[in-house]
Amino acid sequence: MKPAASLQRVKRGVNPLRHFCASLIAITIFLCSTAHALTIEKTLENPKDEARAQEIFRQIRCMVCSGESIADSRADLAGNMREVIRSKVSEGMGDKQIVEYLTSRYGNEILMQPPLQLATYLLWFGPVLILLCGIGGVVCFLRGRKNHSP
Amino acid sequence: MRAFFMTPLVIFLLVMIVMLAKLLDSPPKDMNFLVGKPLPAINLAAAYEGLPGVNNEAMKGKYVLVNVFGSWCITCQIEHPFLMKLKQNNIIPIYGINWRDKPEALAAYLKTNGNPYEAIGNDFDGKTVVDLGVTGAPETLLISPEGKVLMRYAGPVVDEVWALKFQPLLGAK
Repeated sequence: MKPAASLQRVKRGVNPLRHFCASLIAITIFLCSTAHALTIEKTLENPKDEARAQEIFRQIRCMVCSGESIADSRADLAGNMREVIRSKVSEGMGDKQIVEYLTSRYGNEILMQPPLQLATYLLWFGPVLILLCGIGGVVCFLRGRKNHSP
Repeated sequence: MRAFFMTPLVIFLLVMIVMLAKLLDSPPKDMNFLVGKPLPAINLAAAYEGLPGVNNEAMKGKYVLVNVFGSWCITCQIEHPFLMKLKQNNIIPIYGINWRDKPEALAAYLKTNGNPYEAIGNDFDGKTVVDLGVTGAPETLLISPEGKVLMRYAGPVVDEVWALKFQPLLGAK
């Protein structure tokens, strides 16, 4: 009795494949709509300039979000900074100059990657050094074990 | 034997503590890389009919506040009554930078809440805001008579903030 009834339900119910496709289409439309929201902002007419600006965006941290670059962020300040960077790019300011300008106003924390300076050598090389020490320690330990075992 | 195993663990814990401390130590509200340097050139057209725009010349010769705000900014409304107090008691002139705002919205905001400003500059595209190293509204800079940035405060300026942070610097060079 029961198996027959449930079979009937499957037959009359929603085709799972159709349901999956519909969900996929809905998700794609949703994702496209959010992408559209970001492209509403005016990009530079010169594609080379816009590409240069985009590259700079990826290097600059959004100051009011955690960990996002202004390339990804939807925060107001990020949009503001993108506009300012674009206008400086179209004025002909060099990449390095633009980044220097921003760090002079906001400090090094505005960079996605800390700069490679003497002060940050420990930050950059520390993890590798610790790993090497760890490996060294393990090697010494294993060697010691070999000598002690009969 | 024990010591050998403990050492890397101890080092790891120490590194973790230091990193955690640095991470949690968010930049102080009065830090800004312009502090101690001359105020960058500001040249903003008037945002409000009846008051001039903002430029450095008008600000020289006296201590002034440069206040970044917007009619859309809810936290700005918290500091607004205190700014009115500063204006009414002639304590210090306030130059407003109207960020990303519309003239009608600004006019309505000032009509409802009062106008504490000597001049209001229109920074719709936010170029000046970035030039001042500002990250949001409200933010206020204290400028010396010679045009040097003495301090910057990110947040609403109210009685306690004024007394603790701004007032002691009046008279500084």
